[in-house]
Amino acid sequence: MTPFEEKLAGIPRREIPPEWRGEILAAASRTTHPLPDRETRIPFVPRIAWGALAAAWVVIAILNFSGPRGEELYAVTPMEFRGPPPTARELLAYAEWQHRLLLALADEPNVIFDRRTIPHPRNL
Amino acid sequence: MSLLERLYDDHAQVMFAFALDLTRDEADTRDILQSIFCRIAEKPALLRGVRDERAFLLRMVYTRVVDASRRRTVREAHAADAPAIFDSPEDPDAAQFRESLAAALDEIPTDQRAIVHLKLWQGLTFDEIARTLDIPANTAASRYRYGIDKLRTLLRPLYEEIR
Repeated sequence: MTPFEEKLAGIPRREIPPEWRGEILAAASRTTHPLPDRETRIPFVPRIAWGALAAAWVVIAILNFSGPRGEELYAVTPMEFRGPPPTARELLAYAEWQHRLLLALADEPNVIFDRRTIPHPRNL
Repeated sequence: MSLLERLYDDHAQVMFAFALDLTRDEADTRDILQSIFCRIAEKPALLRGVRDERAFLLRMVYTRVVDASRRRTVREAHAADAPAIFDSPEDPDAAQFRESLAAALDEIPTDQRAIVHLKLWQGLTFDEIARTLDIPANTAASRYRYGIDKLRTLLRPLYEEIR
């Protein structure tokens, strides 16, 4: 070391503030043994939410299986909510429209597809 | 005495001096020290197999300083309210020299300043500095030379005067 470096090395550094010891060690201690504060309680909230969701699904399942299903449901539904069934002509028009739509989507040449002509068969 | 208390009593002063020299900010220095002790409290296994605790802790300080400086888009000017990094002497000439030295240290790049600090005030060899900062020993030596030359240039008039 040169005399210049020795002079610099001999200059004492400032002392660490004594109050930091308690503060820093206390903060570190809190990391080791986290208190049950608001942050640590937050993970329990979703547990309650999951419970409520599960209960709701159970209620939905009970309601679903307790009522009429399939043909039985159709039989008990009043006519004014059902409407008349589609005719054979309507079903055929709808099937042709779907066929043209598929050809148009497949970029088939010579297919004219007019979106405005979408048939709306009743009850489909 | 717990592990953390022992580590603090053995190494906190050295960590403080190193961090303060690099950050020039007392609040940043405190944050860095606290984050290191919290990290060790959280995961004491970090120290398992560590042969040189001081070097390990100084490296943690350096890594955090570098990370903090990368996060800052604009370097804050600490010159006006920079904390004292040396003890305050009664002799006004010595006090002036220490102030000039602190200002000169602020002029050199952080990587050079870190090495100058570890060499001059922690008394580490270049090999120890290289291991601490994870750089080749030759790099540590050359950075030290650049740093000390810059300090000598900046402090020459004052140093010649008070020598």
